[in-house]
Amino acid sequence: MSAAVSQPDVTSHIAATPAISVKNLSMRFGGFQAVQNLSFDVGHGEIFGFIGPNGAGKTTTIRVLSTMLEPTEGTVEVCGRDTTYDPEEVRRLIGYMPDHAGVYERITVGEFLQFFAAAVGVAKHVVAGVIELTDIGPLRDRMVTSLSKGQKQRVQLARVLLHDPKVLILDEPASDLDPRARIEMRDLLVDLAKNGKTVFLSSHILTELAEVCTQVAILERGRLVACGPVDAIGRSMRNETHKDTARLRILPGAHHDRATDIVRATGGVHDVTPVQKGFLSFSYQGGDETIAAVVSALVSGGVGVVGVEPERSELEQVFLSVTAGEQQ
Amino acid sequence: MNLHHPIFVREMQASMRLARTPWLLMILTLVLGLGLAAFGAMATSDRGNPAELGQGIFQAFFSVGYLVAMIFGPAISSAMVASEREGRTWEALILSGLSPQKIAKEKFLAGLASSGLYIIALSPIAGLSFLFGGVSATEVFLGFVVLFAVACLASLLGTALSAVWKQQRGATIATLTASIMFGGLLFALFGFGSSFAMHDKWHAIPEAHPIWLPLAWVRAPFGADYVLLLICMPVILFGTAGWFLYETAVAHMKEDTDDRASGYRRWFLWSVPALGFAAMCPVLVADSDRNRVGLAVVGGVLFFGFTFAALLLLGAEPVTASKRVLMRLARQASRRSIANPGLVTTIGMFLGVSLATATAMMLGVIATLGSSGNSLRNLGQVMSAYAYGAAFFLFVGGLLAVLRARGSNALLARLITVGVVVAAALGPPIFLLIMKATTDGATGDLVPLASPSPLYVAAMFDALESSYRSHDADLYAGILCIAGWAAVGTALFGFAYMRARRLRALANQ
Repeated sequence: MSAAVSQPDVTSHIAATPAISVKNLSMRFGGFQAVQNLSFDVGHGEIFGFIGPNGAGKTTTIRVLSTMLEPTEGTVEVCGRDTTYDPEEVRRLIGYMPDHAGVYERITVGEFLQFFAAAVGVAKHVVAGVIELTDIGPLRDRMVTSLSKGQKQRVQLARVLLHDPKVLILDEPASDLDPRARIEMRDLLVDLAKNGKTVFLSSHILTELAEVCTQVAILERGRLVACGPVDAIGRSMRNETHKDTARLRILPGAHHDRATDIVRATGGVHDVTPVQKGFLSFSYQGGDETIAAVVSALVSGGVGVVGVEPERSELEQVFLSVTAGEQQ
Repeated sequence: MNLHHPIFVREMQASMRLARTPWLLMILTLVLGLGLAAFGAMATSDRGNPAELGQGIFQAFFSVGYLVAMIFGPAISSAMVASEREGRTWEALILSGLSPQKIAKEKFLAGLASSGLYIIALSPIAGLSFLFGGVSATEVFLGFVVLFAVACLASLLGTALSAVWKQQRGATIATLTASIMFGGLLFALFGFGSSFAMHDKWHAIPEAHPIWLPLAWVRAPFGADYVLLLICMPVILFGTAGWFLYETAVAHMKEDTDDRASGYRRWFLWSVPALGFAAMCPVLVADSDRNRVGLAVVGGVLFFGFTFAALLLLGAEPVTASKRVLMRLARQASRRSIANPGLVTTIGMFLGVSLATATAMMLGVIATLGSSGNSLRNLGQVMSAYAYGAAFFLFVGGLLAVLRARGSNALLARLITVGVVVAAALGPPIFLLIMKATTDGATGDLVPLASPSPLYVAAMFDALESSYRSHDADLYAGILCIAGWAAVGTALFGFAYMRARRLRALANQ
């Protein structure tokens, strides 16, 4: 009776609180301050990108989130459960995939998943569902060690989904993957988010994060330097002196010098640099309106435009701006 | 034992799919079978008595079985936890909700099952021994019981060291080194060495035969001595060693934020009185007061040696437990238990249990001493040995508590403590020797100069043996030092207690 009453309470409690809530998190290891005064929230169903140079404190934060470390100061909650005081409950709510997660030798994919299904205490038939969801059916009877990196990552993702966690915490899930496996992994994460999972992922591959993340947090030397939707951060950084850079591709037959002059004469454009035959690079202010004016002027001037694209993705620009040139 | 536990099943799947397993089994069985056949052929050409040959085969088979258990068991188990860490599967496993205790148990059982295969494969060869006579089928069966106990211990050793080491190769090398060293030492001391003492006690047990325990269980007459020496002592020694290794595995599987030493504390709480009793078993069966005093002193030295090692182990306890552990304790409403975490609680519990056990041991020995003409001397010797040991131990415990409470890291605190113990034990006797050499004995009795050393107990023994009153000063100096070490130890512990309370109050703010 009590279980029947308490179940809706738990569900409503989870829905009422952010999927992840980090408040004033600090982590010290002896004299080394790994993370300092970190605060952010992640809403349900979001794909949250966690970015930072090596040694910025990403993995430390992730280990706190996954209950493997206790914060020196501050609180971390997953669906309203404190990672310090309710680690067992938090472990039921999260699915954690560490970077370079390993697999067991001499067992098949099916046995690997059956093993973790038994370990987390879910019924055997769940394995079939997860295999279908992650599209690894053809791999079921293959030895786990014989799989490619991309296939192994899919199997790992299947593993973390076994107990139907609310929040997926993925540390560098796309590292070491070939482009095809990356695309497949990205699509899978988007599908999972659509199914209501909250995805918290760290990655070095900024273009990939930019395409899938609803929000990002950028960490540098243990401090949070930016947090929010990528375009909102980008907008907030665009002050009067901010310049973007774009790359323009014109028809091969077009006159290069003429195109350069037209672009330079357009309002909002600063420097124009011919890159190679058929390509120009220019810095500008005024956002998309300036780009439209450039294209319009070129077309009016008889120069055929093949395309214009930002030289760096929005996220890359944001990252480079806020991390002060830290080495990746 | 849950044969369907996921860890057990997975380990057995992986183990059985290892291509070398059947080959190893076949080669081992062939080599041992042919070896014993060759031994039998050579022995029958020299000896006319087939019973002696049967005994020889029995000893050879179980000695090889011991070697197999001590090598294969740890070698198989040593990879089990370290490979999870090295292969980056550990985090997934520990976050699955399986407790470290459950993981340790299933890993141990899987290791035992794998090494048990080798023992079972060899078992038909053991039948050769009782075909020739000299040993009975019951003795062969009991030989397997002992071998199984050894395999358990060896498998636990592998599991424990596998949890301690992060790298699989390091774990395997450390485990094999430890198992060969300890295995050899145990075989020499408890196997070969003890067989002479057992032969003296019960002549039906052959001397110089290392596999004597299964024979003794069958051949020794049942009585109090039988229970104490052949049941209580082996069970206590195997049990405490096995439990310790299990708790070592569990402690090293826990996260830093967990109460890693809770199992150690429970183990210590039970094993100290048990080992104290085991140390007293030979005293209780000794045939004279003189032997009783000698065995009591040896037992006391072994007991305090063990407690000193355990003190160094528990000295790694943090001053206060983590927030997570404190919350868990608060929920369990057991904050006042003596087995709770925290440096001062732990060392306090440790000193209390050790000193209470030492006192009980001393009173037990005194109760067994007869009322002969030398009873006062015997009483004095037992009391001086135990009192000095206890007082010095109190000092060592207090010193370690202060060092840890003042913020020294565990390794440094342990090194300083060992250094102080060595200096206190050897310094005064060396100083005495130097003084004797420089003064040429002209300045009277210099022996009390060595009284701060626990080794001074030997001088107190001499003083109690002597009938000359001139030796009273030696005795009084020893008593003074006993009181001194106890007072300093109590003061140090009190200081550590105050310091830990202050730190805990600061942490709670």
